[in-house]
Amino acid sequence: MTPLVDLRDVFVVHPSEDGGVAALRGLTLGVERGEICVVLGPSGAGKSTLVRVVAGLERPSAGLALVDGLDVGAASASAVARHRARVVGYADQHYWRALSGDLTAVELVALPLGLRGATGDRRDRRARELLERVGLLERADARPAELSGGEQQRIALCAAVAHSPALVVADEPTGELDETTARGVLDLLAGLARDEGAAALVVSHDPTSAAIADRVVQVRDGRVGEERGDEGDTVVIGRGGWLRVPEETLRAAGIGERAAVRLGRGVVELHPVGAAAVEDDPRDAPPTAAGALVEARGVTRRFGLETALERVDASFEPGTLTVVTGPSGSGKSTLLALLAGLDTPDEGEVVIGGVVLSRLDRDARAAFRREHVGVVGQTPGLSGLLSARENVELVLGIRGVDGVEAHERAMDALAIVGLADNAGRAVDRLSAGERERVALARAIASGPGVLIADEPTARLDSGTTIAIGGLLGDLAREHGTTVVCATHDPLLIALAGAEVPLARTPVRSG
Amino acid sequence: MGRVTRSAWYVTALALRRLVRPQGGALGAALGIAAATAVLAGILVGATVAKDRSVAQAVERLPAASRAVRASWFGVPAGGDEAWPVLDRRARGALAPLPTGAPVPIVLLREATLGGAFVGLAAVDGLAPYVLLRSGRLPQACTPERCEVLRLRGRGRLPDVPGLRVVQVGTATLRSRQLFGDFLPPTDNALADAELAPALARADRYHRPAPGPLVVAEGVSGLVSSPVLDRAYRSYGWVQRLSGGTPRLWQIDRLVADADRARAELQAGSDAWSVSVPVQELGSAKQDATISGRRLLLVGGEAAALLVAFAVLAAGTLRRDLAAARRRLTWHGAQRWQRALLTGTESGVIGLGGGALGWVIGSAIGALAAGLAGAPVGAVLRESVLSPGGLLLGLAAAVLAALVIAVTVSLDLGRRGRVGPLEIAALAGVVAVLAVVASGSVDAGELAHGGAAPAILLLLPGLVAFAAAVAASRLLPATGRALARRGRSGARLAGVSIARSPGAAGVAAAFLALAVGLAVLAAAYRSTLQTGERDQAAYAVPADVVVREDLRSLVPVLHAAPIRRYSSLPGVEAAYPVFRATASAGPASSVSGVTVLGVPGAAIRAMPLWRSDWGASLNGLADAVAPSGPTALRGLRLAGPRLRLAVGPGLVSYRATVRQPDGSFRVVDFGRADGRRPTVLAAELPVQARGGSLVSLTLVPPRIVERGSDEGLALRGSTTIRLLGASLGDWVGGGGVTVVAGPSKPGAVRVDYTLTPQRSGVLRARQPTDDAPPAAAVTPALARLVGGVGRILPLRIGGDPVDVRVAAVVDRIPGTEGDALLADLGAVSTAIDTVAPGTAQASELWLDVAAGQGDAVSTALARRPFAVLEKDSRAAREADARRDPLGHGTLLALAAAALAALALAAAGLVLAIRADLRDDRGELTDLEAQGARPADLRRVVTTRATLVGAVGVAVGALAGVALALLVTRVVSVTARAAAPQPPLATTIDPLTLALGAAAFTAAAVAVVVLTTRRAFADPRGPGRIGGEG
Repeated sequence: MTPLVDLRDVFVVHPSEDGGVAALRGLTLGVERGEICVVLGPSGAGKSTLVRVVAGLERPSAGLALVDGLDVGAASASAVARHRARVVGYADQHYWRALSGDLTAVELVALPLGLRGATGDRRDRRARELLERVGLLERADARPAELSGGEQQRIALCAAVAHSPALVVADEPTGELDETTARGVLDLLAGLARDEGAAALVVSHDPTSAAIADRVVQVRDGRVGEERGDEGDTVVIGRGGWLRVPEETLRAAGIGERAAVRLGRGVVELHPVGAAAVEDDPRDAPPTAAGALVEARGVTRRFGLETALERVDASFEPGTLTVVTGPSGSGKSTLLALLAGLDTPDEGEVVIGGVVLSRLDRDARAAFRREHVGVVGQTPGLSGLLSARENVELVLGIRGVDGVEAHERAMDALAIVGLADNAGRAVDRLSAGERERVALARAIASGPGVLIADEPTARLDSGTTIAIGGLLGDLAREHGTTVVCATHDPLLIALAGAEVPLARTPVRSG
Repeated sequence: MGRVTRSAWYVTALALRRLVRPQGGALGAALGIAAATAVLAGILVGATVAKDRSVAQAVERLPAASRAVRASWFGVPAGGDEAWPVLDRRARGALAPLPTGAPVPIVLLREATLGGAFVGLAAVDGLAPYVLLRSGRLPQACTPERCEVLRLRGRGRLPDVPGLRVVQVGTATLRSRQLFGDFLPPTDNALADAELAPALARADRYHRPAPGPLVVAEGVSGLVSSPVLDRAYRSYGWVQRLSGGTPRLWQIDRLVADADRARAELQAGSDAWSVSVPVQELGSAKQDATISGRRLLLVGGEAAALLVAFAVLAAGTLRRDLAAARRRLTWHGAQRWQRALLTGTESGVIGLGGGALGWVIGSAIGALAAGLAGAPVGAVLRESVLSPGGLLLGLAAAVLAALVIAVTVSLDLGRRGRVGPLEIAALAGVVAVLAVVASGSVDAGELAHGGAAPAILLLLPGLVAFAAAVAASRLLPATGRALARRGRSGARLAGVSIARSPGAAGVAAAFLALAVGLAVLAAAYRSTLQTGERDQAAYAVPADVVVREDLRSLVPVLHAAPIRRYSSLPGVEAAYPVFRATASAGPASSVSGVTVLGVPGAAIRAMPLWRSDWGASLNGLADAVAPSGPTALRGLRLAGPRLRLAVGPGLVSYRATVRQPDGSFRVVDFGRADGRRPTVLAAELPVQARGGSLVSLTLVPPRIVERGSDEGLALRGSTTIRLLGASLGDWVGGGGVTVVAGPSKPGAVRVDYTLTPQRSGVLRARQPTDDAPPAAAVTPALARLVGGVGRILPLRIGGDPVDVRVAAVVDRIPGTEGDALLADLGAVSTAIDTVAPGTAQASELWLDVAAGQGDAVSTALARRPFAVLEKDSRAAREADARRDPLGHGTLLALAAAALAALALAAAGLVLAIRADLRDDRGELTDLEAQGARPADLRRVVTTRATLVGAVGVAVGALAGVALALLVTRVVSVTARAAAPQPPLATTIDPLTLALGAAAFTAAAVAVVVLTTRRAFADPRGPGRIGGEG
């Protein structure tokens, strides 16, 4: 039987001022009807481009891309749009971007049906049925701003399957969710797909996503490198006989830039030749202020009728990487905003190094942050036009560091996060993971005593996550920095020295 | 309802929900479009009001006699169909459709002896409003038994016989000639008697017999029913009076057409009927109004460009949000038509809604203005914004706005580094503008005829402003990128912010450039027209007051009063005599109609208008034409009362030309010489000539009357001439007379002559201009005739040859039109009087008036003996220009357009800042997370706004100045829709610009401060850690 998704030697080249950037480089992949295929890969591997090609949102530069028999590369835009409307359900990696803030949950789920001309009754019935299925019927009239991240993602998934598509395509559906919520969302995705008889193509950096998969595919550098399924792990042979061997495997075998090939009967052996793979040359961290004890004392924060945090006490020691964990909606980001002085509690206080931050006015808190606190947001406000180094220097400028010193500190910080070679590249040309590292470099460049990061590894592959986690741990251990991370990433949690778990206890009053 | 219909409704409802979101920005966008459309509608109404008022003034300026629609019947009624009631019914029926109201019936019976009395009889239905009662009372309705009348003029008995008893109850004059028009000669109307020169008045009295009495009765039917008048020739008239406001601008065509129909209808029955309408005058008034109205298209073009620009700006601010919505719909399976429907619905509601609202607001403002101007509001609106064309224009504006928004939100405004359709369109616009400029100017005639000229006016501002906008939109991101890399602190962050979303910032800068450009254009063009009006006045009247001979009274200025009387008038600082004549110029009279202006040097230096691009400076001009030595006319001083001339034999008669002590010339006849022997001819000098000087002797050939063919033979001979008691030794001959050498008595000259009846010979004193012709500044065509400066330009003034030397070439000379030359009064007078003594009389006086004394001088000049002269005052012309509704309306519209453009620029800045704060809040929060204080964030936003404003204002100002130069060059029409003389010169009033810049800066600062203060006022902080939020 013809696969539902049949990609053969697909190339996608994104034009840029500096020349084309190849996101997919001869990718070949098939997804059968009813199959759940999870595509894993590091950031920058081309996963999102793959999803966009399958969803008909982007055309291949070369190769064949058949989805339910339609060549999405050759068909007209109208035909692709009609096809997408009929065949594909799409869930974006940023659930908040997929949901219109003006509509209620039931309206959001019903939206695809409305676009397909369903009657009001049918739309409402189907939407409520799905909301009930995911446990959100009682929040049917809530708007996205009133819902947690997990709730929003569940609604986004309901919207993706509302019209019973043959194929559900999900791009990092759990990228911004805690582990528990992510697991629930993945199960929900799989359940919805199976119940609707749909195939699912899920791309993720999170290996735990593989739990719902009938087949797991590893993508690296725009090509499929490995497959894991019923037949065990396999390395995929590309067109022309090219093999992709995972980097971890090569490193484990001590293979650097060259390998000797020895053939036996049914066997191809690779043997190391020359030096082994070279690790990034770590550089000294910039001069760092002494870490400080960060305390949240009985903090409560309410947003309208919602209580995001209630009487939370927490302490974050200098020299320790402390992770703030908890399910989506438990108030992790809110707590970090309070700790960073970007918000003030309704009750209780935030104390850093003996300074009651929450009693300072907004200007004084900003001044305190300049001196003592580095912050990494979920979506850092990097300038794509500027290079990685210039972005770091820009923030150092805000902190009063200019000129040669700023340049040196920026280079040091970029070296620490493994981007020394890319310091001069425009951020627009970096992958998502590399951008995350630039954001981290910005935060550590001024050597703050306190580093606060909100989900710093949310969109990173495991290798990068481990590297970033190690880096944050080193900062804490070697420089005495107080590092506070909100995360749901088990790899990062495992690397942490302390954990502040938050329970999901939002309270609606009134 | 099918699925497709349901889904379309669904998307439409979704779009409408998005539009009503408070943060959506749709309301602001719609209001901006409403403002721009309101300007368009306001201009439409304003132009109609201005044109209507212009027509009203033109009608008021018509001579009273022709300021009416008049149906007339002439003859002696033969009864039946020609009885008064029948004629009256026919005339009223034919005139009924005309929009000028019910006609006033009149009758005038030609002067005749009626009932034994020679009398002129007239009657009017409803007499009271048309007469000015001098004595007595108004008459009762006339009946044959007692016909009460008012005497209008003349003396004598009135008819008093059975069937016509005429009783005078008072005397009166007609208020104007509007009622009887040409039925009555001008002198029968007291108000039409102009003041005549005493000589003319005497002649008039001499030649005109005393008129018989003319009386007017109340009621036509009562008078004409008298049996005594059965055989009297009469003129019936049905008069529909025209006045300011009747007809209205839009009624003129109908009035003319209806009058034509009425004429045809009446003349179909009898050729005794006629219908007169001042068609030409009304057509001319309408044409002037049309020209001015079409020139307002320039402002309309501005408004249209503003509308489009604001639509682009609004789209730019909506773009990111709408793009996100479209992207979401795409993910959820929306098809292209559904995304287009979403965009179209939102754009359509904003564009059409804003356009409709603006049309209503503009109409309301226009109605208010119309009411204040005294125009009929309903009719003005019906003829402008509510006319089919007006409604179509409004709809087109709204649709255009909607389309612009729809297209703009779909464009990739963030693209960098390539030349796209916008740049190509801007380039094409610039090329089109250059082509227009190269093709010459648009004059009043072209504007009147329509064609491409109105389109040029409509498009010119838009094309240039569009090019400027594109330039600004490209310049700002480049500036932002440069600052992002090389700026410091706040400027660098602002640069990063601009570089991050170059499209939105570029659109904001583009809009500012366009709005500021159009504001500068409007302000500069307004200054240009205002200065132009002053220049027109100063050019036409090159002194404070010019007094000249009135051709109705024919009293030369120096005959009315000697020059000292003018100089001594209170307020007059100086009075300069000026000679003006028309000449032909060139070796073979190549150029005719050349104005010759002889002006004293001081008056040249005091001219109120001179432009450096015309040639030399005023002082340079005066220096160039100043004579190098004395220029007074030379002659032989005459001491005694008699002249004695000793001449040789010949058939020639002699005349002496004497310049009298008062400067005038007198010819004294000596009579004819003896044909066979020398003669001493004697002549008495008139008293006025005694003490004068002899400037020439004229040799006149005898008149040959036997055969006409003898006129073809010249009289040739030679003789000796000697003036007893004086020496003619250095005199020269001319006109066929040649001084020859040879033995002669001391003081005598021997001459050869060749004379014809067409040419008298002259023996005259040598004059200072004989060897040095007067220096003259001439216009280029005259200079080209003879080869430029230094050459001699031969002129013929009144048929006499006069040479001048080209001393300077100037483009134009104030007080003249076409080809002209300017010379020193003394020099040119001498040159002219040399060949035609007495011709170079001062025809004008230029008066310099002390500041603030204009009214006093005007009052004095209105009295005797100056009343008979024509006066022209620069101040009066300027005041007249200021009162002109067309000019006033145009200037008002330009001022309104400038203010609206500035207001929209400020509104655009608000929209841009709000969009920045909304779209960049993630980045701003990130900056705060990195340690930036709210004040720093405000500085970033402020710096960004300042950059946007600076680029927009700088490019806009340049574009505005360029536009003003272009418009001045292309549109050669004054504020009052006339051809400018001299041509308009772009004037940029620095005070207006400074005030505008200050107002805009103050508004912009207020906008930025208020908007940014509120944005960062929350004492808690942003509450988030970075993120797009």
